[in-house]
Amino acid sequence: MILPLPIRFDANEWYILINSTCGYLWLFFSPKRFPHSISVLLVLFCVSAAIIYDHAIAGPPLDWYNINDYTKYELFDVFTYFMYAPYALLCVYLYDKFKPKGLWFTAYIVLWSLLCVGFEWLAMICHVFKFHKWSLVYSFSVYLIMTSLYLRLFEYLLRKFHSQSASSFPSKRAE
Amino acid sequence: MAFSILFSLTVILGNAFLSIRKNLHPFEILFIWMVVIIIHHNFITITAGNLKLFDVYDNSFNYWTMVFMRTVLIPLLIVFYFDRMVVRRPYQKWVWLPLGILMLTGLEYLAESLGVYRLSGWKMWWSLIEWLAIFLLIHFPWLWYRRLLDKEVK
Repeated sequence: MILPLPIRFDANEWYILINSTCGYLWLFFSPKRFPHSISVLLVLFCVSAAIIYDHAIAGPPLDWYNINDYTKYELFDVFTYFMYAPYALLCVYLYDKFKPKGLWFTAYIVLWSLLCVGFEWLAMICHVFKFHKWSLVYSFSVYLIMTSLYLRLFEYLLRKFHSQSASSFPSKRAE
Repeated sequence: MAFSILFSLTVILGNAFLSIRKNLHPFEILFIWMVVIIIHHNFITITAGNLKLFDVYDNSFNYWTMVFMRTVLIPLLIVFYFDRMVVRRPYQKWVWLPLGILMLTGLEYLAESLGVYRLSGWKMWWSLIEWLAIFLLIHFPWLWYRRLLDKEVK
């Protein structure tokens, strides 16, 4: 099979389904704060960063951890990548709402990284992740970098969006 | 050697891309880049990891060359291609499409010749179909995103 189905439909699959449902329900019913074109890029950034990172270190030859039931790439691994995206958008949403400045910005990043580690710890309990040579302490450093990058990317996109008028949309002849 | 050749190729292409006037909006460039990463990583993991049609992992240096290729070089080539094609008429884009496909198939052939991976069951001509499918999978979401962006920028 190209993408194997779960061996047993148990804790890890439920964890992914429940989290994804809650996340995407929030995403669809939350009031709009910034343009959808920016939200799409933020979702893609989150998914592609998770894919690059997991495919680089969770697969052979490094094999530092496994995701879900198989050592192979399976159907629920694909869902796992999309599970993170709404929570990453929630991070940006609250950032945009409260606009933490100075040391509060650093505190905001640390707080979200701790929340992500907690989220990953729960995922580990539910057997979504099985660590071999990896630990939650390493994840904390990764989340610190990713959250900082994510918020900086959001600021850049928002600035770029407001600085570009319709006339600067370059190629009208496209498609 | 493989890494230095592919890295040099990326620097040359990167410089060329940075020095031209872009036809795509920066958001479109990011969109295409990330969609390519998502589609191509999934494709490689399924074909190499699950179906064992490629052998990538001779040593860790080859492995990281492969990671570099699929994260930087291939998305850069595809973004470059879309950026050049966006201002052309639709029939011209279809005429130029085989060139894009041949270019990416050629890159795969180069990586295979340099020993980044070995084909074990994969036929090189399948790459033509692979890249055609990937181009189409990027093209339609990109058109959707372009309309969304156009609407919101106005």
